[in-house]
Amino acid sequence: MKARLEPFGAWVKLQEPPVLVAVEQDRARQLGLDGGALWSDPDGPPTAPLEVHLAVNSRCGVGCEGCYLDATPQGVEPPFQELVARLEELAAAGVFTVAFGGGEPLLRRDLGELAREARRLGLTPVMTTSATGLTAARARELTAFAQVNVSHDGVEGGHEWVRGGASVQSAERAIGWLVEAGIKVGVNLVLTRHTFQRVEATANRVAFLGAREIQLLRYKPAGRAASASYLDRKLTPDQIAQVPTLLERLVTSSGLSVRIDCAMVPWLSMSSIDPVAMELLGVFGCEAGRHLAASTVEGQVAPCSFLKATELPTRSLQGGYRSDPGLVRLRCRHESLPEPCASCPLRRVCRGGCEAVASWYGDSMLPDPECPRVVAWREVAS
Amino acid sequence: MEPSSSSRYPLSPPRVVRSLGGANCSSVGSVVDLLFVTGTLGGALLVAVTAALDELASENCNEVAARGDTPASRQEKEPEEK
Repeated sequence: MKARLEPFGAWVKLQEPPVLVAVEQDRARQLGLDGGALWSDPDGPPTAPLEVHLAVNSRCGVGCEGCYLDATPQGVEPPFQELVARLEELAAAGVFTVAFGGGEPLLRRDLGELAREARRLGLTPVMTTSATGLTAARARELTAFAQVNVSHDGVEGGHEWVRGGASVQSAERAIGWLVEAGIKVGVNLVLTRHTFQRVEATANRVAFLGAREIQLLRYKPAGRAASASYLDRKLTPDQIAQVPTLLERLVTSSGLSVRIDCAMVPWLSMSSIDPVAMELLGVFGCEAGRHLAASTVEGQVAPCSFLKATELPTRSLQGGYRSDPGLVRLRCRHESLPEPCASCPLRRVCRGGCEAVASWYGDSMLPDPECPRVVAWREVAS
Repeated sequence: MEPSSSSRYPLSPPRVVRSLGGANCSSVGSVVDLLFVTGTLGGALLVAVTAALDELASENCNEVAARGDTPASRQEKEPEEK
């Protein structure tokens, strides 16, 4: 059993069913856990993130116009031992999952070895890749990863529209090689107003290729995407309104497991989906600085991959996660949201939507301005 | 210490049950499958999770007993320790 003490009780990782469970103090005690002084304030901040996104480089030659990190072929690549030291700190802090990203992680020749190090430390390594440069032999080096997600932004030209220099054929070949290597494969699909209409056709295609999961991602104004073109690429309000029914169709007909990213949760605020069920089933809205953190390529902790890094080094995560001022500020945003979030039934899950989006519009402390509930509330107010 | 099935007081239900898996490096992803299917499947998951937690608690209980670290065993050992 892997478990981690928290102010409310503990997180427990089960093998079967494969879930992370948050249990109250009474159940944690029954499992032989004792939170001591930590349990005196059940509403206190998390001791560590559940999941950390580890940038293993900032190199990438694909040049996507919407790259949230502005990765380039000249990006940096930390030494292997430095990344191992960061992994050791994550493991010591009780992190469960480490998601390798970049840049393009495949540009590291030692990627498979890094994943094995993560396993040795008790972490669950996963990875996202554009798959550019992947071969069948290289795929076989990656079996330490619990899952690899390949970026696939749509059939019928959708992928090329988002990815520029990367072809959909290379992404699809990569899916096949990874499946052949016995690795669980998912796809990441960034929702833009151009890819939106192809989502179901794309899901059917990648299911045919052997993918088991589709992760839908909101297009966010960060890195190279933080330009005026963002307004032409983000979903239209009409498309956002269609998201709940799109999800239902994907779940019931694609044969894939369907994931949404944290920034999509506000788009469900006007749907009939039960917020209590969402909370119980572990749907995460903005968990930046709480259950989610990023480790930048320079080795600093960031609340998430889209937000500015804090002063806290990854190698000091254990000592500083609960008290770092940058992370505390973000948690304060979650706790003190104004209307219409204050009275929103989804508030405990959503936590005000995406701060990266709110920040691009001018005030990171305000509710996500693309949330349908926020839009409707502002229309009434004006 | 007994598993929940025989506890004197009912234990709190799980706060959150979050599916493992996923592999996104930029934002945190959540499975939404169970939100769009019948409540029966969600209920079945909760039952399975509770049973797995009970089993872990039972294993812990057995380990504690094997170490002789139960209140009863401590009382029994007390005279010897003196």
